[in-house]
Amino acid sequence: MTISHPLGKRISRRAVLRGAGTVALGLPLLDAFSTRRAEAAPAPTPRFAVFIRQGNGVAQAGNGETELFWPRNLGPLTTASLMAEKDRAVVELAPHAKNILLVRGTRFAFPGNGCGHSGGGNQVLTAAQVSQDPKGADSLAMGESVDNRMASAINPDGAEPLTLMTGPTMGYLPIVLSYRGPKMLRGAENDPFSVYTRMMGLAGMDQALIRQISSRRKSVNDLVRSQLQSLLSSSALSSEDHKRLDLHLSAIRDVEVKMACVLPQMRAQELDGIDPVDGNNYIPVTQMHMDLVALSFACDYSRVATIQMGQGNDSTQFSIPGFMNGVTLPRYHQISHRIFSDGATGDPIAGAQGMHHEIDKLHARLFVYLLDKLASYGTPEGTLLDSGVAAWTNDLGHGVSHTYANIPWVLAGSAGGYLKQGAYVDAGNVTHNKLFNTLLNAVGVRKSDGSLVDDFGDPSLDKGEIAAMKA
Amino acid sequence: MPHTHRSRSASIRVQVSLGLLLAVTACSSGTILDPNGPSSDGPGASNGAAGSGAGGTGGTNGECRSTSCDTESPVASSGFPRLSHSQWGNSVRDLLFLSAGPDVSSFTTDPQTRTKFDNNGGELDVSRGLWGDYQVASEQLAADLVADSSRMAKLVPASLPTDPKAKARAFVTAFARRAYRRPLTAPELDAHVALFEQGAALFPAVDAFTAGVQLTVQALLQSPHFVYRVERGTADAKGTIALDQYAIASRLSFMLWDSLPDDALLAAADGGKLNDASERKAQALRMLADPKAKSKLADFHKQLLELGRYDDMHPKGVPAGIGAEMREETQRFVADVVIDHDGSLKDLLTATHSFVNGDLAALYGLTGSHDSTWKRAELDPMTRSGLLTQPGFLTYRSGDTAPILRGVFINQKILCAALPPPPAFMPPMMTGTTRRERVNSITGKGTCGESCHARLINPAGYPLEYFDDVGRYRNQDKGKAVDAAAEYTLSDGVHSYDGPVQWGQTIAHSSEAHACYVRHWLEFGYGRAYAAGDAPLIARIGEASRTQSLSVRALLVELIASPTFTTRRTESP
Repeated sequence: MTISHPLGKRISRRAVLRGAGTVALGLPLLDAFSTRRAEAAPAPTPRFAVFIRQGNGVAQAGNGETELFWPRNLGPLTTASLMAEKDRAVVELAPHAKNILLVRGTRFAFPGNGCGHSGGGNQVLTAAQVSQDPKGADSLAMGESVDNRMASAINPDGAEPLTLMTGPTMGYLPIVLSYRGPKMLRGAENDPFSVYTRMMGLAGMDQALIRQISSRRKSVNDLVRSQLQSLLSSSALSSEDHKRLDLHLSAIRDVEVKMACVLPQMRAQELDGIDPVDGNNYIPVTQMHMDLVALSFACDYSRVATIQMGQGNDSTQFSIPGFMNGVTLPRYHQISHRIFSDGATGDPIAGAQGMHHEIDKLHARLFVYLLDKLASYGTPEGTLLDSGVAAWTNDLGHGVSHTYANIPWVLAGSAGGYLKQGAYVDAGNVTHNKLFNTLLNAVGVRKSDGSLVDDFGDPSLDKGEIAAMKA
Repeated sequence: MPHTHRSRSASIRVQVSLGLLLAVTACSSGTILDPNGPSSDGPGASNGAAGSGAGGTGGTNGECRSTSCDTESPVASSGFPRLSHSQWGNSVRDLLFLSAGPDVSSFTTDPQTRTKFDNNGGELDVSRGLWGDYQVASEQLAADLVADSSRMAKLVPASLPTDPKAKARAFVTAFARRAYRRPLTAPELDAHVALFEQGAALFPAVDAFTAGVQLTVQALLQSPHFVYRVERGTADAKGTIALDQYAIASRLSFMLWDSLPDDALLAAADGGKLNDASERKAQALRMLADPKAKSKLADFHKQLLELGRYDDMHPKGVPAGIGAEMREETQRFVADVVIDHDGSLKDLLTATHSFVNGDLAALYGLTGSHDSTWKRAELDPMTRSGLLTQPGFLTYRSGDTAPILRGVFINQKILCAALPPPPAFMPPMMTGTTRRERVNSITGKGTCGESCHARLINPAGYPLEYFDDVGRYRNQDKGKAVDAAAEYTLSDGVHSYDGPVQWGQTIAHSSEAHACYVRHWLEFGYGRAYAAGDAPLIARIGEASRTQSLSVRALLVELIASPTFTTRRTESP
């Protein structure tokens, strides 16, 4: 293919990625991250944050059930101490014990509006109220989510956060997590290869071709920008339309040729080959999203990301290696209700609590996979795990009761030393906006006057951080 | 099925009473019956004027605060509805004369909007992810185009001038007019020709004209004037914006085709004809005969009836893949009624035929030989009544007839009754033998579920208890005779019925169902959320649908002929 057809080039590259052609492109790997980062960004060190969300609550104590999630004792965590928690989901976190911060004792401040899952999804990353209209399963958050706030503050040019989800994007309560503002739910992407293709951009092409494509894009972008600016200057624009066109304008970027966003070729082929909607691919697709999050941080595509694992009331039918011979389990949402029903009445599922516990452990292992990925990229401080924070949470506390109390928060990484590591702390039954204040400060977000953030979420909530989380 | 079929007139006890309506509304803090439902007289009318929280348009809307509640008048809507992904793909297909549109399935997913349809453009935005999707797809489409001489020939007429500058100008003029669905202004034309001329330097390996085409196509597919329906117009002193001819043409084509206006429609816009309702009607009738309109009619019913859900249904005891077959049955039925026979909502709700293969024929208990081929089948008119008695509609989960879920769907999607969310508390355990007895034990009269379930949800689901969990007819439930009699209060009074056919007839003759269907079409056709100010228009067309059995096509023509079709507002009055 000649350089005159850049998309022809793209197509042929896709063919290469599929293994259909010869390996014509030398795709650079990311072994030189630390040096490049050190050269390119002397100060301050970038911070990163990723939130992964599991649905349907966890199998913690409550509703007459025993504790199968949290460790027995508050205080320091070590590999040995977590290994000893054999009947608790956190046992799986042992390999990263020194970087783990478990936070119990936070709750959502507001009741749902007719649908526990929807109300939980509305609040889990926003600490905002649940809308009165729409209501029920359609309810929305009345404020922005923490990833949005972080991205607008710490992403280069305030670019939007990376918003990924595992599972089908259509159906009941499909997308729930990331909000640009009140009632402004952000779309999510579930196809890893599609995300990767865009993230990769022009990486791996020769410099002359990159210059050419960049110039073409610049010409196009200049036209589109001027058109949007002209439309934005129209006097008869509603505020909603103004926001939408503004978002569009800010989404447009000229090509920045810098750190290559490239995965190893074998891995890229796997991304290309997977069906993201097939429920049987829940685990590998989630892992691919995690590869992309780490890559995004490493090559500075976005410093903030979310992964919504499963739909609002996740009905994935898991098959967990090593559990019940890998048999396909009932729908997760029904397991979380402990009955063969998505409602309140139905035949009991024998051993449902144990199944839920195994699903929690599966998600703990997925979280460990993410931490391994983050730890595989170097930064001047150590690894991405040291420079940022990863969080695994849930939009319910417990499946059966749909409670908003004692939401599980499993954090890892100190964000450059701000957060306590290797510890299990109790926040003291506070609203979880305080956890977000702490995390926002950890990644370097500040209020407009330069002071620490103390007021994220609904303005009616108590202000401040959770001191027990801080190093 | 009981042998005591009563005629509809006998079965409907007209007991209009404001007291009853108020009793029903006790189910929630607001109104139950949506504002679009009631006819213009009777107690329901005041419901309509009050509005129910049904939302508005693009967040700017509002409730009726002025006299506009009584007359058909413009409501607030976005001036920049974004194309849905399929609209973007269809528009590319028609703009570039492709036989099929590009694959847009991997485009960044839009969150669900208030209409539940995928084309509520005022609530769709261009995020960083989608912008990247547009960029990549546009570059690929432009590269593919110029690499294919037959495609280029379709786009670049031989009649263009030979002088390079004149040729560029002629191409840009014609292409941008179709892409933007309007002529360019003079300054725009200059800017676009300038872009075209940059092509030569940016694509040095091809001739200058080809390079210009490639860059222009690559750019225009990403332009806001392509990605959005930019609704230009002239505002009067009261804030009503009279749309210009080209915005009206785009409303027409995206409503009926999910794509760009064709040359004939743009010519009508050139001639300033589209303010004339009769011209719009004529255009609509012409366009409805095009295959692109068939896709739109089919897609509406697929989204409205949530047919995508059927593919994921895997009930036990029936052949694997039955869910997809159930979807196919309903799609064939809808196409037959709405497209092939120009039928009405009543036909959809009361027809006694459908389309079956062997698996479906078994569910219907049909005799005769059936195999994998699909064919029309006459069903038992004593038990079957259109969409509501099709197996896909009736199936939710194995072993459960799910009268609550069936009833909720009918209330929400067929009657537009605004059910409040279910209670957060856990109901007590069910008791009883039959499904109806068990559901009654936690939601019937005298229980805390009475206000919504006993009055609205259960009576909509119980008449379908003659069908098991996959839609097979039955007259026994756990050894007891099925009880499928119920009462439902509509705006004209209490209706009693026994079984699915009477219930289907009741719905098919109700103002609520017709207004609801029109409301869905308004949302899907106009590509925006319903607003309180739409009530008079919906009531009028709904009544025409009910009393004159207006065909679905005719209903669309009425929506297009309405004077509100040519206007909008930035904010609510």
